[in-house]
Amino acid sequence: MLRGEHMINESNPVFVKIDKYKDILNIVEVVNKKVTGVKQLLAELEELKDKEAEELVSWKNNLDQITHKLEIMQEELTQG
Amino acid sequence: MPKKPIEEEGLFIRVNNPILIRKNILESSKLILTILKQTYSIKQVRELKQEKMSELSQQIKELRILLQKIEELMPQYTKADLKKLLPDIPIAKKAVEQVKASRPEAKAEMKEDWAEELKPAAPVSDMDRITKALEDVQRKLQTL
Repeated sequence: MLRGEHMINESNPVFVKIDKYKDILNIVEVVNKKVTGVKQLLAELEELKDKEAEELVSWKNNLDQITHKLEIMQEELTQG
Repeated sequence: MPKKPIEEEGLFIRVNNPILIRKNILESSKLILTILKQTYSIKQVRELKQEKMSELSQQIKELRILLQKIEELMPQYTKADLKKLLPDIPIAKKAVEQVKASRPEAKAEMKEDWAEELKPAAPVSDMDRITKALEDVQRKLQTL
């Protein structure tokens, strides 16, 4: 029976059929497992985000180095 | 011998430190290749992130469905409803016994949640019963 079909004041205790109660417990267990999985996924995503950020920083550093080397070359070539 | 025009002879510029320039060119090439490699690496990371995001999205959808299912299963009958439906069965005791037998760890939870409800009900007057029934009718009317 859907909740909407049988509106109950939420402050009052309710009774759930024992088979449905067991179903609920099973679902809660599955939900717990899924939440753990989602947490793991989020940790992996955070790790990937950090890795990407590191790569971008390294990328920028390399570009700065190239710019510096080009400046040296330009200076050297214009001196002559 | 006739003198060649400047354009044909070409211009020559003295390079004081050719080794330094050569070294810089090679190092720059190396850095460019490193950047190229990093580009692929970032692309791979982003693809992996995309996969993980899709997986996460799927998991969240499943969680939502499961929680919805719990919501559908959860509140069903009040004590008054059960008394109407099953007047001869001592609901509270039976429920506790079944739960205890099926899931011993639920005992503690049951104590907390239903302890008050499982106590023998205090005798209620007719007036209380009618008031309660009226409240039930009003509540049902509100849901229509």
